[in-house]
Amino acid sequence: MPDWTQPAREEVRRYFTRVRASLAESGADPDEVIGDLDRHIDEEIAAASLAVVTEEDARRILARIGPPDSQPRAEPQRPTLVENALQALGDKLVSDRAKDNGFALRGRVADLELAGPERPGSATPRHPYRYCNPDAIAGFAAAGLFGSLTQSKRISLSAAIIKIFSSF
Amino acid sequence: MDDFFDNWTVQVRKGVLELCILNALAEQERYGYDLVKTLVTVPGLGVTEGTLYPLLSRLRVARGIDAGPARKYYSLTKDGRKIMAVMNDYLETLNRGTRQLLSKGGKYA
Repeated sequence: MPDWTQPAREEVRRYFTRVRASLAESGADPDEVIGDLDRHIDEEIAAASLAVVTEEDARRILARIGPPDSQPRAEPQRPTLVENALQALGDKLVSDRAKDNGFALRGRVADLELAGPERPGSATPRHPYRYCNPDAIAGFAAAGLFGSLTQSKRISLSAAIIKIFSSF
Repeated sequence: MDDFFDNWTVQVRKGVLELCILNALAEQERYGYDLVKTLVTVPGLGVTEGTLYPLLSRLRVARGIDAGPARKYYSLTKDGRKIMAVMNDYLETLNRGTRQLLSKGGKYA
């Protein structure tokens, strides 16, 4: 078993801290990945027949392993049209409420109505309530009309809709 | 144009990394260190160990691979073998289609 210098141990510890941070919400198990990387580092040291592991050795090995965030990433997801509209509506809610107790906002919502002429044979017929058809919105979300949303985005989107319409 | 190519290669690599892992385990279980060392030498794949271990973990969490009791030897699960077959078929279809276009484009490159 090689001896580790204290700076070398610190170097690896800092690397593992970065690994753990970068794996948040990645779907990987951070403890498992760190365990795998720890074993891999031991294998590298054994292959190099090092008697003492210095900070420089640790840096060299970690550089070869690569940064913990080197996973190729897709382009960041842009907000959908509806998410943007809801954000704008939420902002408007605050300012219009301050102006005229919400009456102006009703007009804004009417302008922003998702409804157009009803399509023949529509699975989501128009709701009698002018401002909000919750069944239709749920149906649109389930059909993916609002884009491909993660569960957390779906929850926040639903929360935004409820917050806006419950304010009338 | 360099940025465009870099972005494109990232997307392509991202799409095939899991498939490479599954195929590398198709024949037999592999010791983690050896598996990773093999994959980092695949031309064009451009991955490091720091990339592969999180991917292996994600595949294990998704039950596509098994890591053994001491998590040193990786192997394909039954589900992993099924998804690998589907992905291989899909990639083969895509390759055939792409090659037809490449043969046309190659004449004018």
